[in-house]
Formats: sequence, structure tokens, C-alpha cells
Amino acid sequence: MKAPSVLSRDEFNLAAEGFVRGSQRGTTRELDLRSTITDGWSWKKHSSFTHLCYLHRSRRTALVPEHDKETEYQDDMEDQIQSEFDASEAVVPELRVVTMQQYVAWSATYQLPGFYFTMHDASGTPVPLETIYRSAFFQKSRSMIAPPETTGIPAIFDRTQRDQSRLGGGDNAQFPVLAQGDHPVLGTPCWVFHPCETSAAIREILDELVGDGWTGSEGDLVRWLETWFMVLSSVVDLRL
Amino acid sequence: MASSAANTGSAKPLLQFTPFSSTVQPAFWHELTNLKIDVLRLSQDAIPIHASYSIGRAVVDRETGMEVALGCNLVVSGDAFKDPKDVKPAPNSVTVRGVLKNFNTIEDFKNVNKQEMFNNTAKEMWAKTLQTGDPSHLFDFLLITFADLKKYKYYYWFAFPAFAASPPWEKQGEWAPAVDVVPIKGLEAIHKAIHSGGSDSSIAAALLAKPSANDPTAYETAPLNKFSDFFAGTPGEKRFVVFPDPSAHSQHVGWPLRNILTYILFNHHQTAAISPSSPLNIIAWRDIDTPSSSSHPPKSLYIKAYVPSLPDTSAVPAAVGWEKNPAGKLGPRMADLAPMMDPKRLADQAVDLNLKLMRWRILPGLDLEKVSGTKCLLLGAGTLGCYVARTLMGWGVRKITLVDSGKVSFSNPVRQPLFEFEDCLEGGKPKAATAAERLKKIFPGIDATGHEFLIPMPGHPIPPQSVEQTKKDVAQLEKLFDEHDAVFLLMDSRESRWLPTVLGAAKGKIMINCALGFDSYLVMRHGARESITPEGSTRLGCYYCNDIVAPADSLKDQTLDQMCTVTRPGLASIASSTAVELLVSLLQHSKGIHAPSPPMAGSGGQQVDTNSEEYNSVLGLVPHQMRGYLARFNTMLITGAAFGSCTGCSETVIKAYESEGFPMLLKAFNDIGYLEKLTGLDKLHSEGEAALEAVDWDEDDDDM
Repeated sequence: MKAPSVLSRDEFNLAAEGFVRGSQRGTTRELDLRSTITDGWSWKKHSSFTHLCYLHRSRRTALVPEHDKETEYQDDMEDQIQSEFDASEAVVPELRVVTMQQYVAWSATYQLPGFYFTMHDASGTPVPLETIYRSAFFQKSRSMIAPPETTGIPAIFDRTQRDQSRLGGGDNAQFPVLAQGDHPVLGTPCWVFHPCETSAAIREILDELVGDGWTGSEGDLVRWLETWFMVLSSVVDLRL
Repeated sequence: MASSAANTGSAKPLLQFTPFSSTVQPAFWHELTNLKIDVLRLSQDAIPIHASYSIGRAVVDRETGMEVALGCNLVVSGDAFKDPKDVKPAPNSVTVRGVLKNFNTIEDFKNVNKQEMFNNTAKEMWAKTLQTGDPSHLFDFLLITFADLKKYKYYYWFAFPAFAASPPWEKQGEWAPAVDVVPIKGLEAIHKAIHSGGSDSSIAAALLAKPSANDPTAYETAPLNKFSDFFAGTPGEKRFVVFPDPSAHSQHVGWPLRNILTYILFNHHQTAAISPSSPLNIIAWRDIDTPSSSSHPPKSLYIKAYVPSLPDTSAVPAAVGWEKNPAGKLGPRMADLAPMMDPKRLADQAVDLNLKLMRWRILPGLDLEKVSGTKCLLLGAGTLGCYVARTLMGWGVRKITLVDSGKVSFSNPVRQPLFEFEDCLEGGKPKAATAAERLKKIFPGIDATGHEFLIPMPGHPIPPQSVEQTKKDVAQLEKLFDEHDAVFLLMDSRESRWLPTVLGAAKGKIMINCALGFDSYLVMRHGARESITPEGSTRLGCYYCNDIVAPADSLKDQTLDQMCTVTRPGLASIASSTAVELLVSLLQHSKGIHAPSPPMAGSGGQQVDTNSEEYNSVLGLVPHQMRGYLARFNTMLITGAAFGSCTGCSETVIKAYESEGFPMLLKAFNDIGYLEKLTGLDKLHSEGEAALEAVDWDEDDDDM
């Protein structure tokens, strides 16, 4: 049997649980996935409807300072504390760190896992879309998503990619569409990559890997999900 | 060493610690909101919470290739309010406890005696930990908040109390790889011990290690509080204190070590016997994977540290630790969750994203801001007005103003998508205002308003008692023209378009005209007036340019094409969408209102390449007129030049309006012959008739 292009909820649950167990044990995988792609995921269940589950992890990266926007602070609240010089405190420049909450949840509409995420700064304030694209998570793929002239990305940051994207021409049709949607389990607003274009790519890879040898076992399902991660990693840098 | 001492101007090689920097996950603010609304209400009681820190990470900056340490982060998540025992800790993390105090007003938040709160927290930590010997409260923290739930803004300030040793800790040498002093087998044993965890954490916050008596490459470990027992009889150089280090900085380790050192100093000083000649061996644990010489070279660091002299162990040392804000000052921070929690902001974002995707994926050259920034005035809030407004919203246009004198009637809702049955009751609500309200209901981000007044028309004389009102209406219309960039003519009669045509030409506005027949429609843009038309370009006509009669009362003597209430129901949305798309194409053309219209096939006898850049915006052609026929399901593109004697857009008419103002308009409304006389159309008529008469119609001349 050939690998399926969609997964049922039960299959997704099996695959994801197997995936998390595997990544915790550090089992060697047949696919060459960098361990950092599969690390740190935990399997979460809805508090009342325990068949509603999702994978979650949190990843951080620093923003390039020039894209940093100064936030306003209430001056009148500063310096209420007498700051005594503390010689033992290291003076380390404050980096603007963004945190990406990554979720993999099953979409009932597409019968596929979808990649949902939010991105926020240290205070929990969500960062704007432009900052998301400029973050290291999307650096590799940015030229595919956003043709530079129109995005206001500073030229020094983008010169090389601009030229590449011109040459690259029309292959961004392969790229999954970013949309705003609700997390299927949590119900909170998230960014999501539209899953509809992933299934063909996964099918192609799995046909190559397992051919007719698909049995639907947990191992096969885990491999299906790993393939899904591989496809996703062409867009999002999951190694961070 | 010598150089760094020289740089600081101090001879003391101080051991320095990177303060914690807080990271709050949005889910924490959601939970705080729920808690405040459902449980706390106005209570300002202290609430236990928990947070976690994990082994520090560095990322490689793609630009420079340099490693950047991500800072010493303490993370507060949405689980913070749950009992830590009920929460599965994140991998590789230490769970710490804290206290949250939420204030009801910003004033309370500002005015509370923060120094006192901080001192109380530190005192409690001292009592719980250093007096009892139980190190589980060594890393307690304090968080004060004020939640502005209406604006989705959260003010907050963390404190991570650390007891300051006096005199401070000093170091011997710099931080060096731990593998220099502990063999890899020993590191493996320590890694295992760290990961066997603390009570609520996935890893232990601190532990002790020493080489095994039997095998010096193997290491034994024990929890921190066993310091005196475990190290009794172990010489100082073989005692190691290990802690998972949240800092990834090469020379500064994380904040938790401060209180670990204080704990050892105050609770185990007899065994520890720390002095410059008997320093403490410290390992800052930075390995996430089991260290191994092949696949995961160990990253943990090692140093010897000491206090120059023992502090008075009977006195409670001072504590420090309020977090600085991103400006580097001691002050609170603020989280703005409106983009995520305010439904209006969410809608705004989603609308823009949809449009941006169009640009990013299909039309990189599309100037969306130009479209969304165009202020649109819609004259007529009927079938056409409703559909035009909705399509404009789809393009992200944020300012839409509607003018209509009518009320919603029972026949309207099925054809006019901004109205409902209820709007027709009790005589009907005013159409323009109702449509504007409905637009806001559909998308709160829109700036929509409705005005109820009648646009005066030629051939509909103004009774003397109404002249004042008409004058006011005209003034209002003029003002609205000044405030908008594009005007849509969407009324149901031909002559009501005359005044807007004149105003639009006079004020240089983009004029989009849309008219329906039974199964045909016309969508056109008006050309600019002659005085601003660039040299050498053909001036395009207006709605009246092809007419050789001045507008007059069409309502009593109308042809089908001039009356839009009897139309195929699908026609209005087709025409309205076409009208909006025409506006958008025009906005994207580099010449805007002067964009040339593609020449009609066969005109002038020569082939013109309409694919050339001259005629195209990123969205394609910007035709002058489109006439659509549902009977044949086709659309014709028409280009019509302006007519020098036009009653709508000729310089004669515009100049008369500009010099005389309202009295000139009044003449046009009241005097049927006025406009034809003004423009010379009357002469044209008589010339035409004369010409006709001059033709020698020889009906008898028949070859048959």
C-alpha cells in the first residue's frame, strides 16, 4: 500500500505521541532530521476533550537590533527604587528576544496536521507580521514569501535575496499560504500555514521512501509526521 | 587577568552574575485576566505562581556568524497559576516559585512601597531557606502587575532577590571548560544526576559532585543541602558545586548561583571553609545533551571562587534584584496584547494580511497603501452604493462616506446587501447612515459615515422656499468633495450626476461613474479637466460628453438605460465590482487620473500594442469606459474623447461655476436652456438642424 496523503485524527494522535516518545529517547531516525528539529516537543491534551491534542514547543531567537522598535515606557515610574551599585552584577546589553510558540495540531478541514504559531517579545506583546518575517525563523524563506521592494525591509538586509528572488521567479507557488486562524484546540488566535499544499509534497517523498510498503503502523505514522516536519522546515527554520 | 583588572581600575577580580531577564508568555496574561475577572476581582492578595528557567542558549547570527547569548531568561507561562505539582515541567528546566501581587489601579501599582515589598520577600526567603537549611526557596521571585483590561495592556515588574555577599565573591582566573578538571565520565555522571531532577523540575537546580573514592574518573553526586555531610573529609579541590546555568554568556554566569553561594556560605560555612587559599570549585552546567567526546563536546564551564573574608553569618545580608526595563532603567515593563486580544485589531490584521498575500505572492508591485489610503465618497447608497462599499472594503479602503436622500424601503434589502428587513419598518431608516453603520458592523476598522441630503439636479427647479436648503446641501457636497480622493456616481438618475461631475472636474477628483440598464451597464471614469490635462495627451470624456442634450428631468420621460430600478438582479454587483476594480487599476497606474485608455480596435486604422507599459498598471489596462451586456455576457471597452462643449466637464462650465459659484448652479437647476446656451450646444443644435435640412433627400432618385 502507498502512503496516504492525509491522516485521520487518530492516526495523527498516534503519530505525534510516537514522535514525542522517539524524540525523548533520542532514537535514530531513518530520515536525516537534525535532532533540534524534533527536540523539545511536548504532547498536550485538551483539559476536557482528551482526544483533542497537539504538539507544542517554545523557541527563542534574538532580533537583529536595527529592526528593533523602541517601546514607550512610563518615565514617571522609573527610579522609584534607589539603585545601589552592585559590583557583582554583570552588565550585559539587553537583547530583544522573540519567542515563537510552535504548535502542530490536526486540522479537521484538511485532515492534515497544520503548523500554528504565535510570536511575542519578552513582555508577551505579539510582534507584528513584518518582524515575524524578519526574524531568523523565516530568514531562509523570506525571499519566497515577501518580494523585498514592497515590504520595507532595509536593503542591506536583503540585497542578495532580492536578486535571487528575481531569478527564482515563479516558484513561490509551492509556498504554503500564511493565514490568521484559531488554534484548533486552544481556540486562541494564531498564525497558520495553510496545510493544503503540503500533502502532495509529503506523498511524493513517502512514495520514494516506502513505496508500496506502507502498513499504517505507528512507525509508519511517525515517519509520515517526520516527513511533514521536513516539508515544513523548508519554510520555517525549526533548528533554532 | 591583569589587563581586565587594569581596565576596571580595580584590583579585585569579581565574580559577576547575569541578572535574570523575564519572558512572559501571552498565555500568562490571558490567565491573569481570567483570574482577575473570575476569582480575584478587587482583591490585592498575594498569589503563589511559578516560573522556570532552563540551560542558557546561544544562537548563531546569520549576518555575522557570531554566537549571540540569548540572555538569562526566566519564563512565566500560562501554567504559572497552577500548582507546580500538576504541571509537567518543560524539558531541561528548573521550576521556581514566586508571588504575584496584582493592583487594581495604575496609581496603586505606582505608589506601592516597592522597597518594602522587596525587603519582605527577601526576608521570607531568608527565613524559609537560610534559617532552615532547605534550599527550595533560594530562587523565589516577586511580580507586581496592573492589568488594564479595557486596553489589553499589562504593566508589570519582576524582582529576583539575590543576597549580596559583603565583601563580594571573587574569582581565580576566568571561566574555563569544565572538561579541563572533570573527566568526561564524571561529566556524564553529573549530567545524569542533574536530569534525575528536582521535585517539581525536570532538572535539579543545584547539586554537589566529587570524584568517587574507588574510581577517580567516576563521580558521585548529592543534593545541595547535603553539603556538610557529603563533602566532609573531601579536600577542597575535589569539591564541585554544579548548577544548570541559564546564562550562555562566555564570562558571566547566571543569577541563581548568587543565592547558591550565599546558602553555602551561611549554612555550611564550617565545612566549606572558603577563603582565597581554599576556593570553591563551581561548574556552570551548560550541556543539554549528554556530553561525549565525539558527538556532543561538553560546553559546561568551571571556575574557582572565594570570598576574601567571611561575612558576619549572624546578620541577614542585603538583597538586590529589581529587574531593569528594556531602556536599562529600574522601572516597570508593559505588555500590549491588543493586537492579539482586541477583536477589532485582529480583524484589521486579517484584512491586511489577505491583501498583503496578494501582493507577496502575485503582484509584488502592487501599492496597497495607495488603495487603502484612498478616501472614497459614494453618491448613492442603493444597490450600486452597497456593492461598491463592500468591494472597497475588500480592498482595504478605510474611509467610505455615503450620500443618499432616501429611506430604506421594503424592496431594498433583497437587492441591497447592506440592509435588512428591520431597516424598512416605521417608514424606513435613512439609507446612507444605515449603510455606514452596517459597514462598521461588518468591519469595525472602517471609518464610515452617511449623509442624508438630496443632490440638486438640472431640470428640477428649486422652489424659492428651498433655495437656502439647497445652498447648504451644495456647500456640504463641496466640502465632502474636498475631503475625499475618489467619488463614485451611483445614483439612479442621469441628471443627478451633473453637479458631482462639475465638482469633480473642478476639484480634480477621480470620478468613477456607474449606471445600469435592464441588462446592460456602463462603468466609466471621467477624464481630467482640460486645464490640468498634460500636453499631448488625449483628454477623456465625462458622462455627458457623448450627449448633445443637456441633462434634464429624466424621471418623467426616461429611457430604459437611464433607469436602474428595473434591472437583472445580478447586474448591479457586476457593475459595482467593475467600478471598484477600475478605480484600483487607475490608482496603480503611474499616471493616475491621466492614465491613457487603450485605443479601440480599428480606430485610427493603426494597430496599437495595448500590452505596452504605457497603457498598463500592475493590474493591467485602465479603460475609459466599459459597457457590459448580460444578454451576450460580454463587455466592450470604449475610449471616448472629451467634448469641448460638454455640459458637464468643459472649461466653460467649470469656469462659470468657479467664478459665479452657487448662483450659476441655481441657474442650471432652474433654467432648462441655460447649460445648452452656456456651452453653445443650442447653436450646435440649430447648425445640425440646418445641416439636416440642407441635405437634399432625393427619395425619388431610384435606380430600380
